[in-house]
Amino acid sequence: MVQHAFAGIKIGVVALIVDVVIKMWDHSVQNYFGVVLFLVSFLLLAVIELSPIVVIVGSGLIGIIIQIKGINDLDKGSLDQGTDQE
Amino acid sequence: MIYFKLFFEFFKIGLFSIGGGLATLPLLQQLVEKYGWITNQQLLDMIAVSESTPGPIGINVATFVGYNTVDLLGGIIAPIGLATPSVIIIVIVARYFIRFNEHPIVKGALGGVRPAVAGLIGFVAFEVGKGELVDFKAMILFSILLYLINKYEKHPILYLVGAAMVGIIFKY
Repeated sequence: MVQHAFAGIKIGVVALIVDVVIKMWDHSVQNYFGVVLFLVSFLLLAVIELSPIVVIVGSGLIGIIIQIKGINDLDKGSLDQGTDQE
Repeated sequence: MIYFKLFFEFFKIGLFSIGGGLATLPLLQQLVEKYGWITNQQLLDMIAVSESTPGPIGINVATFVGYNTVDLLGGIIAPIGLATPSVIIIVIVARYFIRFNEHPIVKGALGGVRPAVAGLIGFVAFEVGKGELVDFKAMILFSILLYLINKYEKHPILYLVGAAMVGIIFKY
């Protein structure tokens, strides 16, 4: 019985994580740059197993360059857009 | 020294966890592969526990890993390591940058990091989902839960209890 319960819970956990991704997408992916950053970071982890730290630092730098060069306003919201659910 | 290593590894995670709650996940999962301090299965269990109890997932996992791989002191040092960067950064931010989120560099950096972190968590979801959504029955429960979570936004524990009950009744 316990193992059936845990099997259900694990599926629930996957659903919770996917929901966080959907909400983060809604809040932070606001244009094509966001879509590209989302896909590239997914693929960098999936294909060449790059460290998430490298991806985070890299995406921050790209964001700064884009913002400073005035190519696009990546961040239209404010800091309190977090998806923290705790 | 193991305590130093624990502190340093979780300090690193704390330093790069941007985007709230589950943003620590990709970094924690890397810990799974790098040191084997925790298994993928345990990480999944920890997410279930963390989503149902107070406290962010990173702190819960840090405590668990520290206690499980070393001892009680490890269970204290690891979460301190995780929280330290945030404390330092927030103190600096509060002291020097009142309106720092309006600064173009901060805006740009966060604007770039947020979609990337979403992609990183997307990858974790993919990795975890691959192991769990193995049959039609699992897909159905997953789809129903995802719809309910997204629509009603109740406390995660409700969905996990529901999922456990469905698991028992339908013998998942």
